[in-house]
Amino acid sequence: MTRGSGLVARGSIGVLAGILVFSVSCESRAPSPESRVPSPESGRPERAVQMPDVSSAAPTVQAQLRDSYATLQQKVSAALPAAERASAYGDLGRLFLATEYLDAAETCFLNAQTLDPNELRWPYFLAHIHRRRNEPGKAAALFERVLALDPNHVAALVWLGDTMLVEGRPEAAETPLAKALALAPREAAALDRAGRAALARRDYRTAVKDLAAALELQPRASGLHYPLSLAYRGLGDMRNADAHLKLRGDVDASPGDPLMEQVGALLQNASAAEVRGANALAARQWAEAIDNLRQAIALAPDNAFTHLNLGTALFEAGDAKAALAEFQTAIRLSPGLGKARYGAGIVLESAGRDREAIAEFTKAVDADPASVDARMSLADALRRTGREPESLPHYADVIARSPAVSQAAFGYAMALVRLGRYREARDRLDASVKTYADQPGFPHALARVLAAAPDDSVRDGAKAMTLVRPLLQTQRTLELMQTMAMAMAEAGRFEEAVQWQRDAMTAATQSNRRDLDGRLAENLSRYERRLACRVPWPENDPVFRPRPNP
Amino acid sequence: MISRRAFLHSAGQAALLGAGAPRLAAAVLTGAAAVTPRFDEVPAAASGITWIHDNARSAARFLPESLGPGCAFLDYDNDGWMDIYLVNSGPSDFYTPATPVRNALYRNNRDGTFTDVTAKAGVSGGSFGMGVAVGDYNNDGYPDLFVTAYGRAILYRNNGDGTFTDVTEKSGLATRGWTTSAVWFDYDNNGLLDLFVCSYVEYDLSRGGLACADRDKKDGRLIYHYCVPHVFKPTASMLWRNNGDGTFSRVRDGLFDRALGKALGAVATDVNNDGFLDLFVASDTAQNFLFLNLGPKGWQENSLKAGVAFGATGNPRSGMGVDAADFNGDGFEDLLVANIDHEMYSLYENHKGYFFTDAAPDHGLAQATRLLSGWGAKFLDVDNDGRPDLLLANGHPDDVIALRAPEVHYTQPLLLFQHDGRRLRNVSAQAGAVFAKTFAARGLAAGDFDNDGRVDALVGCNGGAPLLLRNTTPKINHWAGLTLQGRSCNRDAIGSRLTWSAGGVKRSRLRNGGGSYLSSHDPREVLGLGRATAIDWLEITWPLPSGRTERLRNVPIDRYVTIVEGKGLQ
Repeated sequence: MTRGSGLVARGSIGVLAGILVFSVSCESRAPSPESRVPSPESGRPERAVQMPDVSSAAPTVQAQLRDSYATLQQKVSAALPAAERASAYGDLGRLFLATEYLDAAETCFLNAQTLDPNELRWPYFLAHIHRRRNEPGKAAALFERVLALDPNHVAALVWLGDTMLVEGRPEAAETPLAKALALAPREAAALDRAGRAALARRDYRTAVKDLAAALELQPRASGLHYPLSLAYRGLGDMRNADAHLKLRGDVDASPGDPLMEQVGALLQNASAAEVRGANALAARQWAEAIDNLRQAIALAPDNAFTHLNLGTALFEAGDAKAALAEFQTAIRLSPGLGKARYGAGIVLESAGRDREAIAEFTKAVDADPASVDARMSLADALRRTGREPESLPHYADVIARSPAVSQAAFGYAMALVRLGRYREARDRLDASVKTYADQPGFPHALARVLAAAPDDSVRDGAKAMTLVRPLLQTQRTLELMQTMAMAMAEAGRFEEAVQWQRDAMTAATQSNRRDLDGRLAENLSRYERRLACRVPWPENDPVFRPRPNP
Repeated sequence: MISRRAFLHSAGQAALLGAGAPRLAAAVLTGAAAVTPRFDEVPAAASGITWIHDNARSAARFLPESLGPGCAFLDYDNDGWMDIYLVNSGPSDFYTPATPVRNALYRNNRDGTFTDVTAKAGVSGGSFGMGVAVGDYNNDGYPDLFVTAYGRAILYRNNGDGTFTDVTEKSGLATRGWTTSAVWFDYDNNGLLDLFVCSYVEYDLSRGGLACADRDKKDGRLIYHYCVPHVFKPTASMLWRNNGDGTFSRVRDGLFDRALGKALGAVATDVNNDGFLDLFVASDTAQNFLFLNLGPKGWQENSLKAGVAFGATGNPRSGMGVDAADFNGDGFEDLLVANIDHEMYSLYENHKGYFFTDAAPDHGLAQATRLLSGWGAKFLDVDNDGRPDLLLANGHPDDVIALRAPEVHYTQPLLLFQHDGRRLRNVSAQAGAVFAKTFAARGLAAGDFDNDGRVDALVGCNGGAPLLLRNTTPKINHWAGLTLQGRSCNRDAIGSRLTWSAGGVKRSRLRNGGGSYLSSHDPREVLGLGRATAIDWLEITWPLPSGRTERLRNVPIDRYVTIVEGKGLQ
C-alpha cells in the first residue's frame, strides 16, 4: 500500500479520457510509396464545418476554439494547396477532439482525409472518435486503414487489438497484438491485451506470461491484477490467484500514443494542465507534475483538488513544507476534502508531529469514513503513540472494508499483544496465517506469542517450532533465530534454545545491533537456567511502533 | 442392363449417403434429429390475454418505471394446465394511476385461450409490482405467489379453491424498499421452501435529486432519461427461512447483510454438487455474488475467487437476468448472466465447482449481445434433443438511449441459441417471424401451456402487451413430461437431480430454483429424448432431507406423468 496512490485525485476533468502515458516512441511517418492507398473519401467535396455551441466550455477554451475556427476559414477561403488545407482541418479537428466536440472533429478529419489521403493521422484520429462513441467496428476499420499506410504503427496495432477484444473477438486480436509485440516487446499495453486474448482462449500459461510482463513494466496498472488472477486460477495456482485478486484495481495499462498525447496537450486551460499534472503524478514524474499543477493553479487558484495533487507531488519530491502548505490550502478551500486532511496528516507524521497528524487523520476519516488509507494511518498513529485501545475499532473497520489490507490485521493483533490480551491476539494471528498465507509476518508473530506469552493457556512451544521452521528455511534472520530459541525453551529443549540464542547474538554482533545486547543476554541467561522466556517482545520493540509509510 | 437414368439415380443416392451414411443413419434412428427450433407469436385476439403493462412512464423518468414486468407460468388450480400471472406497476410515491392498475391471473382454458380470473382469485396486487416467484411454501400442493415490488411486496397463499389470501404481514415477509427477482428454494434441506429476495438500490424520493438529464445540443432543453444505477447506493438482499408455520425469519448471519449489491436476477443451483443449493445473483453496476451454501457451516461469498463477480477487466457490469444449466454436459452447473449494451453477456463454464471461465465468445453469444441489454434468460430444451438451448429477452432500460448512443436501440430482438451438440448457435434468424421484431422485453418465463411437450415462452414487455410464444418446432424428437412431487423433501422437489437414458444416450439435469428475470417457470420437467422411442431408465435423486435415489423404468413418453417420492409413477 503506498500513500501516493491514495492522494491522486482526478477532480472534475473535462478533457480526453484517452490521455495516455508516453512510453514508446511511435511518430507519424510518411508512408512508403507502396503503402499509399486511395482514401474512400477521395474526390468527395469538402464538408462544411459548423462551429458547435461552445458556450459551456471554459472561456480560454472558447477563445482557443473560435480563433482556430477563424484560422481555418481563412485558409479554406484562400484556396491553399490540398495538403495545407488538410493540415488546417486537422489542427481544428484535434482541438475539437481535445474538447470532446466529436461531431465537429469528425467532419474536420474527414475533410483532412479527403484532401490528404496518405496522411495516417486523419484515419487515426477518426478511429479514436469511433472508439469514444463505442463503435468498435468502425474504429477497427480505420485502424486497419492506418496500418495500410504504415504497417508498423505500434499504437494502431495495439488499439486494433484492443478494439477486437471489445468486440468479443479475441482470436482476431492476436494477430495485430503479436505484431505490436514483435516491434515493441516492452509495450505494456500490447502485453496486457495479448494476455487477455490468451486468457479468452484459455491459454493460461501465455496469459500469465504476458500479463505479468505488462505488470512489471507498469506496476501501477492495477487493472492487470484481475485477469492475472483468472489466469493463475486457470493454471491451478490458487495462491497467486488469490494474491492478485486482493490487489485488483481499475487503472489500465496504457499504450504509448504520442499522437493522442499531442491532442491532450493542445488545451490551454486549467483542466488540461491539471490532467497533465495528474498524469505525470501517476507516472511518478514529480518535477513535471509540479510544473503542470502550478500552471493549473495559476489559471484556477481555487480548485482544491489541484492543490491536493500539487501537495502530493511536492511531498514525493521531498519538499514537505511546501506540500503541507498546499494541503492546508486545499483544506481551506474545501474543509470536507478528506484526502487533503489525509495528506496533511502524512506530512505531519513524517515530521514526527504525531499529535497533529492524528487530528488530521481523524478529520479525514470523519469526512470520508470509507477511506481505508486514512483510517489505516490513524490506527497506526494511535498505536504508535500508545493509544492502542483507540486504534482497535479503526483496524477492525479497515479489515471489514478491505480484507486485502493485511497490515490492518497485523496492527490489530499487535495492539492486542500490547494490551496483554494474548488469547485474542493468538486467535487473530491464527486466522490471519490462513487468510494471508503468502505473508510470513503472521506465522512469525504467532510463533512468538505461542512461545513466550505470559498467559499459560496460550503457549504452545511445539506449534511455535512448527511455524518457525519453514520460515527459517527461506530466511535466517536475527528475529527468527530469537523466536526459535523462545520456542525451543518453551518446549523444554533448553540446550537447543541456548544454541539458537547464541546464534542470534552472533548475528546481532555482525549486524552491529548493540541495542539488542541486553535483551539477548538476558534471554540467554534464562535459557541457561532452564527458564523459558515470558516476554515475546520488549516494550520498546518496533513492532509496537508502526513507522509512517514511506 | 441398368438404365442410364437408374444408374445416375443410384449413383446420386450413393453420393448423398456417401461416407456419412452410417452416421446419418445412426442419428436418424437413435440420436437427435437436427431440427430448426421455432416460436410463433400467439396474438392477444387468439389467447384472450388483453392485459397490458402500465410502466407509469413520466416526464421525470423515475427508475422503477423501466424495470418491469415479470411474469409466470403456474398451475394455480392444479388442473394440469399452465396458467399465467402478470405483474403490473401500481400506486407509489411517484405514481398515481389515472385508472386502476392491477396484476393479472389468467386461467388456461385448455384450448389455447385464457380467462382473466384475477378478481376472483384476489391477486390484483396493489403496489408498484416488479416480479413474481411461484413456490409451494407450505407443501399443501398448491403453488403460492410472492410478488416483489418497489414498495410493498406481497405473499399470496393459495387457498386451493381458486382463491388466494394476502398473508404478507402474518408471514413476516412485509419487506419494503425495492425488491426485484425472488427465488424459492430449500437452503437448509429441511423440506420447506425458503425464499431469497433480491434487493435493488436505495431509492428514496423524499431525499430528492433522483432525476437525470442531458442538455440537448441543438436547443439546450433538458432531456430526461433513466438514471444509470451507479448513482444510487447498493442494498442487501434477503434470505428468509421458512419456519414451517406460515411465517418466515430473516437469516441474519452477517454475510447477506454485508454483501451490498443492486440485485436484479437470482438462481438457486448447486455449483459444486455438494447437495446444498447455492445462489448466483446478478447485480447492476456492482459485483455479482456467488453465495456458496456450506450447509450447517453457513454461507460463503465466493464470486471473486470463482471468477463470476466482474467482467474480464475486473470492473463491475450491469448484470440483470441469470440462469443455470449444465450446458456442456460435464455434470456441473454452468451460469449465464445477461448484461447491458457494450458489456456482452457471459456464459460461465463451471470447472468442477472451483471456478468459472467465460465461454460466451466461443459460442458467438458475446458477439451477438454486444449492443443488447438482457433481462429474461432461460435455458430450455426447445427441440427436445436433450440438450439445453437458450432463449433471451432483450431491451434497453432507457427509452432515449439512442440520443446518446445511436448504435443502441430501446427495443431489441429476442435471441434464440440452439445447442448443436458441441456449442450454442444463434438460430434467431431462422426461428420465426417474432425474432425479426423488436420489443422492450423484460421478464421471461418458460412453460408448456398447450401440453404438447414443446416448451413455450412468455415474455413481459415494458409498457406493452405480453408476448405469448408457442413453440412450433417440428415434432421430430420425443419427450417425457414429469411432475415431481416430494414427500419428505420440499414438495416442489427443487434441488432434485434427474438422470435418464434414452436410446443409449445418457443425460442429466438438476432441478434449479428461479432463474431468468422477475419471472417464474412451469414447474414440470420436460426431458428431451431425441429420436429414442423409449426411456431406458430414469433415475431421480430427491433433494435432502430425503436424499433418496429411485430408478424407474417404463416411464411413458410424449405425455405428462406425476412421480411421487417413494411411490413412483402415479
